[in-house]
Amino acid sequence: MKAIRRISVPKKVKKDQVFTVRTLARHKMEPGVRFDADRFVVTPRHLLQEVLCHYNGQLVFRAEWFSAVSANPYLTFKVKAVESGEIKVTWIDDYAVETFAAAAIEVIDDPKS
Amino acid sequence: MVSDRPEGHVRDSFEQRRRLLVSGGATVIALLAALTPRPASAISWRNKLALFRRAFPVQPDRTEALRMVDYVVDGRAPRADLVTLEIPDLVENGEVVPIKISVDCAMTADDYPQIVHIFALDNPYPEVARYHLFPENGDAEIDMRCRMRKSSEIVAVAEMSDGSVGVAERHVDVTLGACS
Repeated sequence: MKAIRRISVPKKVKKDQVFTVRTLARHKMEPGVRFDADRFVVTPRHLLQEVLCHYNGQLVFRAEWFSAVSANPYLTFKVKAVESGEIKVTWIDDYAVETFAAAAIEVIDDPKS
Repeated sequence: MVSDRPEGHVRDSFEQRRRLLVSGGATVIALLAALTPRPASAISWRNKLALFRRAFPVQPDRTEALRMVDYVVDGRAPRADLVTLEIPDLVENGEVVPIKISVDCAMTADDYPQIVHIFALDNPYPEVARYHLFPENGDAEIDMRCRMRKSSEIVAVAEMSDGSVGVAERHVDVTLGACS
């Protein structure tokens, strides 16, 4: 199954506006307690442990996930717009494999507001 | 002379000899079976581990979960109306329980939630997630999906930067529990 890491941010935001970052990863999030009767084994644990969000290289959000996070984990959080740049979200799994998705964001300095 | 003895005696002695022979034979066969080299077991060590984990699965422990919450709260009096949890009261599928947490604070350097913990009390591993927030977030609002084994409380604990604590608890009814 192809790994999908997706984030969605607004393309243009005003300065100091708080916008939502929506993230979606396609992952089984195997908790390591399921018994596979066909192969007669407990399916080994495979989780996404950590989610990091960097805004222009600065860490703005960090999540630690455990086995009770559902499969294909969806996560949203807020970030305050400071300057144009890049939002990068990194997922790190049990075997320290890093996957990421990035999106550009443009901040408009509106003199009226 | 033979007639002096009771008839049962002869039969008993025969019976005893027969039993001795049979039990001795059985022992020899068992010994041989133990000593002969057997082919490599069809069950590998990993399957043995699987069997062990199947025989001794981790069971949900509510008192242990509450102890985890108490460890995070650490005796501090929780601030009222700080954390709000938005979860539907009745969830059909325990695999996907939508949770929305928001912390009502100014999000300045001295008033923001450093860590937000989420616990599901009747899960075998009660800790669901831990979120580290920063003043750059602008708004402490997180939306996620979690698994729940059965109907229980979900507890969110926010540790603020000034050392205070906010706790929110909400009971969720789950129709079909998940494996977590």
